[in-house]
This record gives sequence, C-alpha cells and structure tokens, in this order.
Amino acid sequence: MAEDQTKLSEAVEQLAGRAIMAEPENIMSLGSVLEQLESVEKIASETASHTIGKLAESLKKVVEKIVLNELSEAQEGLELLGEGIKSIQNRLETSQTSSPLQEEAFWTKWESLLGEKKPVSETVNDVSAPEPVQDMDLDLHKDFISEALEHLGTIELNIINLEQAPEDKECINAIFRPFHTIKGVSGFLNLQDINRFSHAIESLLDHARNDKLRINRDMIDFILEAVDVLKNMILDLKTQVESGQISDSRFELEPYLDKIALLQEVGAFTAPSSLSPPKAGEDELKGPPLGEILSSKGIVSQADISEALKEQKEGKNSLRIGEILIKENKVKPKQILDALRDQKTISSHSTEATVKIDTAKLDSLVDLIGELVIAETLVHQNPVFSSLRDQKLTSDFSQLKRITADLQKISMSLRMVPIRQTFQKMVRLVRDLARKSEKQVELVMSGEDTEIDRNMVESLYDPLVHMIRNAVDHGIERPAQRKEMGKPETGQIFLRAFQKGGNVVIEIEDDGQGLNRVKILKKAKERGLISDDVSLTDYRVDNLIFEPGFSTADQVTDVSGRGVGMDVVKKAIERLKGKVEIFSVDRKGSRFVMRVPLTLAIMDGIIVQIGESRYIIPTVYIKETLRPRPDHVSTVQQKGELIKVRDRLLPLIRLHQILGVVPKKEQPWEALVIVVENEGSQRCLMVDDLIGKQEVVIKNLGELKEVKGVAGATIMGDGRVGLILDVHGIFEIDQTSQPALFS
Amino acid sequence: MLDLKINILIVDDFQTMRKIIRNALSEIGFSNIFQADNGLTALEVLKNEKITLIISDWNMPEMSGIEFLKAVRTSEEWKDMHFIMVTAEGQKENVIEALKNKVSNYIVKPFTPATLAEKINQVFGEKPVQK
Repeated sequence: MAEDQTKLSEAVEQLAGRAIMAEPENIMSLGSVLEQLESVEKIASETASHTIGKLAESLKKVVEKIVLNELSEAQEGLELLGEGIKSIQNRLETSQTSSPLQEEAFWTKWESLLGEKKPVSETVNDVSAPEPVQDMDLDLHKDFISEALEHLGTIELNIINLEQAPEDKECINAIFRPFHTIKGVSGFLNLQDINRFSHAIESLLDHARNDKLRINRDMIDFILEAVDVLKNMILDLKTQVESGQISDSRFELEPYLDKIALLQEVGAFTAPSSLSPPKAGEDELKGPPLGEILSSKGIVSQADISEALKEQKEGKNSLRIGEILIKENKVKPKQILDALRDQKTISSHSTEATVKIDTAKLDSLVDLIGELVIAETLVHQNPVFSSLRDQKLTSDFSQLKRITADLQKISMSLRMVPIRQTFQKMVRLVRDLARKSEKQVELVMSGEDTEIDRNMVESLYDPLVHMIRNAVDHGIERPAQRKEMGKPETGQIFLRAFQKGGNVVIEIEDDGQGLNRVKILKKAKERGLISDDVSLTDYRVDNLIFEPGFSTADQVTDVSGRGVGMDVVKKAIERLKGKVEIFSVDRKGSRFVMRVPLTLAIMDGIIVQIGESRYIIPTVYIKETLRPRPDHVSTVQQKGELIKVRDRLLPLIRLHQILGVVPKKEQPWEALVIVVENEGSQRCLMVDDLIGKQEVVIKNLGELKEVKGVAGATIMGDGRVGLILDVHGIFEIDQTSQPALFS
Repeated sequence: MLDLKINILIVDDFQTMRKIIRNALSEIGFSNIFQADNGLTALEVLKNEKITLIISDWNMPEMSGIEFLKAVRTSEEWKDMHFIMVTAEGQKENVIEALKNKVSNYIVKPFTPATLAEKINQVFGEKPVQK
C-alpha cells in the first residue's frame, strides 16, 4: 500500500513538473503532459484511487482541447490544468481532500470551460475569399487536373475489382485515398464544388471502410456515377484554366449530396438482392468470354478484341482484357461492369426452351416408371430367369436395365424444379417485415438453382416463411442496439440451398442476437418439458424451441402472432421426411438447417432381416454397423442395455420387440447392431442380418395412414413388401416404453 | 531567428500537394526542400540527407504518416527529429494519436503560408538555431 502511494505521488510530481513547462503553442510539451496524465490515471486505477483517476481523466480532456485549439483562451486551459493538479495533490495526502472548496471550484470551472461551445477551428483563414489567379496558381491547377484525372482512372479499375470482392479492404482503401487527396488539394486551390463533392464521397467511403456501410451493386454503380460527375467538374476546370479565368459554382450538386447524406443514415443502399460472395466449393461456371459479350453487344469490334488479346499475351504486366480495353479507351468502365454481370448471369442458368405440362400427367409418368423399375427387378430376381444361361438374353436384359435406369433418372429430374421461385418470394417478405419492425435487414441468397421435388415446393413455403419471420423478429436487433454492439446497423439474413448426400439442405442464417438460452430453459421447466436437475448441452437447449407450445415471444406482434411455434415448422418438415435443427451463438446469430430428401419418391436404404421379415432402414440415418463383443454389452439398472461403440456407451433398441417379430438371434453379440443417429442422439438397432443396399421406391401405406415407426413401404426385389422404418418414431417408441432418463 | 537554410523533407503521395507545400515554404523563405511520396521512400531520404524538419501527410499508401512518425521516433538517429503532421479537417482522433506518438506539431489543411510559418516557429521555439 505504502509503495503504491509512493508510485502515485511520484507520478503526480512528474505531472506537476511537466505542466509547468507546458505552453499552448508547444505541442510537444502538451503531448508530454497528456502522456503523464495517462500514466497517473493508470496508477490511480491500480491503487483504487478513484477520485484522482477521475481528476486525471478530466484533465486529459482539457489538454486535448488546448491541443485542438478548441478553447477560446488557451491560457485559461493551462490555469485549469494547474488547479486540477492541485486538487490531485490535495487528495494524495489523505483519501479525503484537504480542501473541498478548492476541488469544487475546480469542477465548476471545468464544466463551464469545457461546456463552452467556442470551437476555434484551424481551417478558416483566407480560403473563403476567392483569390485572384496568378501564374503560379495556374500551374498548380494544371498539375492538379492531370493528377486528379489519373487518380480517377485508377478508381474505375479498382471498382471493378471491388465488385468481384466486396470484402476486400485494400480495394476500398485504394478507392478511398484518391477522393481524400482530391478533397485536400481542391481545398487549397479554393475549388469549392470539387471540394464539397469529393468530401461527401470520401465520407461515404470512410463509412464503408469502417464496416458501417455495406458495399453492394447499387453502391458501386453510384460510385462510378460520382466519378463521372467529378471528372466532368475537373474537365470543366480544365477549360476554365485554359481560358485564364476561374469562376465558381457551376454544378448542381445538391441532389447528389442529399442522396449521400440519406444513404449514410440508412446504412445501406436499397435493393436487398446484393452480391453474395462466392461460396467455396461451388463449381466455377465460366460463361462466355468477356470479349464475346462485348462484341455481341456491339460495343467493340472483333478486331479490337483480337488486338487486346494480342496485347495481353505480349504485355509485361498481367492485365485483363477489360483493363486493356479501358486503357485503350475502347470501352467505358460501366460497360465492362455490365458485361461482367451478364457473364455471371449467363453462366448460372442456360437458356432453355420450356413447355408446360399438366402435373397430373407428370406424376403418373413418374409413378409408372417407378413401377417399371420394380417389375424389371422382379423379372431379374426370378430364379427361373437366373438359371437361364443364354448369353444373348443376359446382354439384352442388361441393356433393358440400363435404359430403365436412365428413364428413372430423367423422370426424377422432371419432378425437380429450382428453388429460386420460393426464395424470390422471401425477398418481398423480408423487406415488409423489416419495415414493420423498424429494423434494417438485408437478404442474401445463394444456391437458388438447387433443385427440389416440385411436390415439396408448396410444403416448404410455410416453414421457410416462419423461420424468416423468426429471424427478423427475434434474431436481428434494432439498428440502435446493433450499433451499440459494434455490428453494422443493417442485419443480414443468409438464405442458402445446396444438395448434400441424398438431401437438399436449406439454411437460414442471421447475424442477430442468437437464442436466449436462459429464457428457453425457464420456459421449458415451466412447461415441464425437462426436469429441474437435468443439464443440457447448448444444442439441446436451442432445439427445445421445436417442442409444442413453445413460444418465448414477449409480445404479440401481428407479424409473428403468438402460439404458432416452431413445432409447427418441425412437423411440416418431418411430413416431408426431412429434419430441421437450429444452431445458435450468443450475440452472433442463429442458423436454421433444414434437410429434406431430394425426392419423396425414391430413397436409399439398407435392407435388414429380423426373423422372417425384411425391413428397410434409410441410409441417411445410419452411422455404422458392427457386431459387438460380449464384453461390450452391458445392462444398467433402469437404463436398459448399452453397447460400447468405440469410446461411447449407446442404448440398444431391440427392434424385434418394437416390431413384434420373433428374431433368429437373441443376443447382440450374435446379431448385428446398426448405429443410427437422429436429432443429435445415437442408438443401436439390433437386427439379425444385413441383406444389402438398395434404392427403393417409397409407397405410402394407403389405408393405414400414419403408423408410428414406419415411414412407408416398398416392394422389394423378390416381390415381397418391405416396411421402411422411421428412425425418429422408433426412438420415440423406445423412449416411452423405457421412461428412465434419456437425456 | 530561425535558420532558413535548414533541410526540410515534405512527404505526401500527391505531387500537387507537395508542390503546394513547397511553394508555401519558399514564400516563407526556405529553399532546401526534399520530397518523398510515402513513409518508406522518406526513410531512404533521411538516410542520405541531413534533414532538420519533416512535414508529412497522414494518408499515404505503403507506409502512412503515423507509421512513419513511429518509425522516426523509435529510431536511434532521428528520434528527436522535428515532425509536423498534416491532417484534414475534423480528424481529431488522428491529432491525438499523433500527439501520443510525440509529434512536434500538427497543421490542418487547407492552410496558408502564414499558418505554416507560425507552426514552424512553434516547433523551433524561441531558441536560436546555429547557422
């Protein structure tokens, strides 16, 4: 304690010394006082001398004001500094001040001095009065004109780079600097229009640099437009200089300046469909070459293109076609930009001729082809057929098989449509939702080309709408709150679709506040969904929102309504034989992941044998298959049987018990165990034997409606009916029959 | 009196800007002017010439003004170099940051030769400089 005090009083003594040497014009002396004040502040906080810390902090502000010339009387500021140091010294003696009056006087003076609004800025001087042009000045103007035009040229090239890589900070910087410099020099030369305009653009770009403004296509177009305007102003200046006269204010800047101010407020350019950064792993579809696009538009001639290509080959610096053409002044940057955009669009969807088909006809076609596949398998598996050794017959049949397989593939694709239309509907939705809830939200889509079964389109719409509503309502925060958190004021919702395995995956991700786990746990306990002493993983807590009746919305918004919980979404997706889950990171955002099978009609499955019957388990659930060792099987009181799989203990489900059949094998170590996973938890299913893997055509159970544990049925190769097991249902049956703790 | 024969180094990436400052300096009476277009090239000049005063812009590619100031202040040979930072209007944080890095003075553009002279006087103080 004592040595802390010594440290502090030494620092204060140094401070007093430096303060005496300080003079308002001597910036270095003020800098050294500032440095010492920070030192004192730091030691004060370490020794918990709060008042001294506060005093030091307030004195820092005084010194800063003196440096920035914001006090009408700098000397007063120095006097105040002296008073403040005296107060600090008084406080050093005891923890109380030995002179409360002096300290109070200091604070009053501090408040009045700093509360004063008399900024004396450096800039004014003589710049406002238009100065007569002298020869030397004209020279400067000429230099300025040529250098500025050169810089504007580099901006155009960099803009094109920026559109391809909107996150590249170096690129933004490269565009920011020229505007900043043009602003600076035009200030010196008293070129008011150019100065005002470049200043406005510079601050816009500064916002973008600091992530306060998002760069999208509209913004890039605007910057290019601004460059054109600035170019015109400078060229106009050129003619004036050549005629020997400089006059002022000949340009209508107001509409531009107003728009810029508005855009900075809003935080983003309008038009939510912005540039989505290319996803790693997506095929790079090239599209027609740039030169071709330009010549087909009539912008350049074939000769120009070949010349440019030649130069590119011979060129020392690796320039791209677009850059070469711009340099040669054969095209305008905006034309290159448009051509690049065309290239992107063309490559992403091929122009097709389309025909309209009655969907009923289409469905019967697909159904029939499914039956064809089954019939063909029946013939193939007929023992009489396999005993025939005729070579021609065998090869003819192989041909038949090939054709049928192709037919099947095409018929499947007939039913597939790109998900684009469904996604497009979300754009309008997001815009309306955002406006109603007074938030700023941008929708970023990718994978709109991913195809889904057309029969699913309708059923997917509602769940999607729901999850997006959730994201806007409960995920994305209000602009003010986001600003506080250091996030850009405009929130983003990513809508992605892609194919993986036999499924279509749709993700809805937001950069909002994430789920409130405390609230969810509380609600779940209230509803008796979980017992009080159970501890859950974050994933489990998050996915509790899919339980029925679960809605933690505090207010009824007409947008979301109340009581229409995520369980409705889950049921809808499960009806499509899909799964949905949510991942959330506190304060960073949430991500819904929805998986649906590529098609409802065909499924990849493993055929298993239990007793005399055969069943099919969808491959998508299966993790691995094994025959456990006897010492890896254990029975735990109230938990049932457990199998040790590598380093985990997984519960065993005796399928024959659930399905009501007599198994051939009684013990797990004689039988086979299939490890399946559903919604984050794994179990072992016991079967007698594994028959094989097969793509099966799913038929529903007709009259039987929904049977728990059974997802449908199929006709297997031998003509018999096989039931397709619903893993989720099986888990549930097992759980209810064994009420002991499944966490 | 300030010695008008001292070597002054102007650092700015815009040539026109360097010309403007050079004209202002020559109006005051200085004639030994050196130029560099960013911090890195400026360091090269410092190695080859005996510079007494640096006037540097803030915003430059490769090595910015503040980075240049730090480099100068942490070097053995030039740590006591007189350094004036040129900033743009409204950039208070830049001024404070320069201050923390022991800048000798700052000047806001646009400025007149008279203001520049004042700032230079402040830097050299009342002490007479040997010829």
